[in-house]
Amino acid sequence: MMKAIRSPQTAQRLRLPIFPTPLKSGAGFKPEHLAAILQDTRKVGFFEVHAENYMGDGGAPLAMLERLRADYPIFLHGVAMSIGGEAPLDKDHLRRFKRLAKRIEPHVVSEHLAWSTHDGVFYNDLLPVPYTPAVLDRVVAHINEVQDTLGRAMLLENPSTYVAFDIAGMSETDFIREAARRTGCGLLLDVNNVFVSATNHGFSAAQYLAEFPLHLVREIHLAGHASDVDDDGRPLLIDAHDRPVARDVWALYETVISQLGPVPTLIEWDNDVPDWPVLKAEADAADAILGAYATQAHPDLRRAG
Amino acid sequence: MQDNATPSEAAFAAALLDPAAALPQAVKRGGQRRYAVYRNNVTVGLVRALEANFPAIRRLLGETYFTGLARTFAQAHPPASPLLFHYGEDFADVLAAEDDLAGYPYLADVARLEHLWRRAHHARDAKVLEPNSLSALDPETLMASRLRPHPACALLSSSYAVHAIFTASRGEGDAVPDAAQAQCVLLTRPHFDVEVRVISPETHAFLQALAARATLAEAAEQGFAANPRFALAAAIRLMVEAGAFQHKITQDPS
Repeated sequence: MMKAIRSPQTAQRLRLPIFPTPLKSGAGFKPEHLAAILQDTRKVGFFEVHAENYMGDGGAPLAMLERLRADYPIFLHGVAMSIGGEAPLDKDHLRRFKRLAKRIEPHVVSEHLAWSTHDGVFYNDLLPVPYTPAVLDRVVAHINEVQDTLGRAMLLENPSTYVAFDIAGMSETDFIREAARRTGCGLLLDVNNVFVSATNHGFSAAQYLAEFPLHLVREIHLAGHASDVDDDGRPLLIDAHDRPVARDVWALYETVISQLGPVPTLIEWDNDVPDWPVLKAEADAADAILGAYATQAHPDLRRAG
Repeated sequence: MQDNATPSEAAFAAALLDPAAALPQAVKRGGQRRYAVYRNNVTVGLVRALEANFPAIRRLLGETYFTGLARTFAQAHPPASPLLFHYGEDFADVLAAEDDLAGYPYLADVARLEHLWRRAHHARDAKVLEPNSLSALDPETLMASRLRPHPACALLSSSYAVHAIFTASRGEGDAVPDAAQAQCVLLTRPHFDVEVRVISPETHAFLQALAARATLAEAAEQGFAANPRFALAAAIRLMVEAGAFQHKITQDPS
């Protein structure tokens, strides 16, 4: 366990430990794993939580997260900011996000290129954004607002999508590159999402990665997906987060790491959650790949670490 | 601002909660099953949130019936807030109005209790009233005192055995209780765990008055009005032990 150090500004308050960037794998935190995690002598690199689950005013959930934060870097991942949405960002939600970030001092904050709220209804899903210049303008404005509110850069995550819009728009990689260029945000590359979208829309995942601004990637997500077929019998993959990472996704991941060097990598497993050792084994598998390319420095991450 | 080339969010959103609605126009042809993934994600996600928030109701109704009801509820009452642990505030009213459930009139109060439990679980932390801060006061000052309820404190009065049903349905209690017995309940969170206990109607009247900022003397009157044999000392002991109030005591006029 890291020792808490006293902040020079407020001697009264015990500060949370400052960790270097974990060039290792981490796991999505599930409260039912807490006891097993605290007893596990082999630590993962970090834990990530969905910010919304800890936006209550107090009680056991926040106390548990603070306990975990004493031992591990925490990555705060928002799933409801609706950055791609038409409406202005929800100021109450931004305030709650800021309050949580102030309390937990996360290593990284991230959100999705998606929308989830329309006309006052929260749909609890990551809905697809049409890639047009007008939408890019509002996504840029929303990312800027998040970053200005939090006083730090966020990471933007590429989505998994099931439908395509019948419009002449930009490519997803161009859209994401432009959003990052205009806001200075970093990127969270979800390799499973790339594979799911590539299969669903019939493009090459390798080509997508070749066009993706990899030098801006500060975190990677890996997860399992489910398989179905669409109306015409073509494969339809679903980003289900309910099983181990697929072999093809591991192969793509290794391609990315061989080019980038080690990047903090999260295993997401949100449905049919297994016991801690099973989730930990997935994180170990990611570590094996990260370890194989450990001598290759990601220049920006090394400096930050 | 919406340019003509950009598909509208309204069209995409309109069909998400309505299985009979047509596919949004901007979605490429052949996308029925693809769009259905979003539809399914939205409904299943909200049903899961209701399952997490109302485990006793789910157990009482059985999984199949609960899922059907939760699906209908989610489509008619989608959440406004992304804080899904508070989702389903009006679920109790829907249970009460459901014709099929007329024979189970206690369900709505069990749902209300589950909702209060979630509120208490996520409520703000605050220091609770300590036993000796009351015993240090002389009787006159004590009876003129006003207390502030702890953020997690909640009261519920039901015509049914709501606590017994709640406890049994969460797998902690004895066999099926007699539903027709009225019960009053106090919810508190002295540390991290929410505590739910049965209190007498007169203690309920007393605590409700105190929580509404009455003085101890005024609140005691409410207790005695509910039952002339109201045990004031025991009620005070219970509220301190449960952590129903915050540590600060005032003697101001209102």
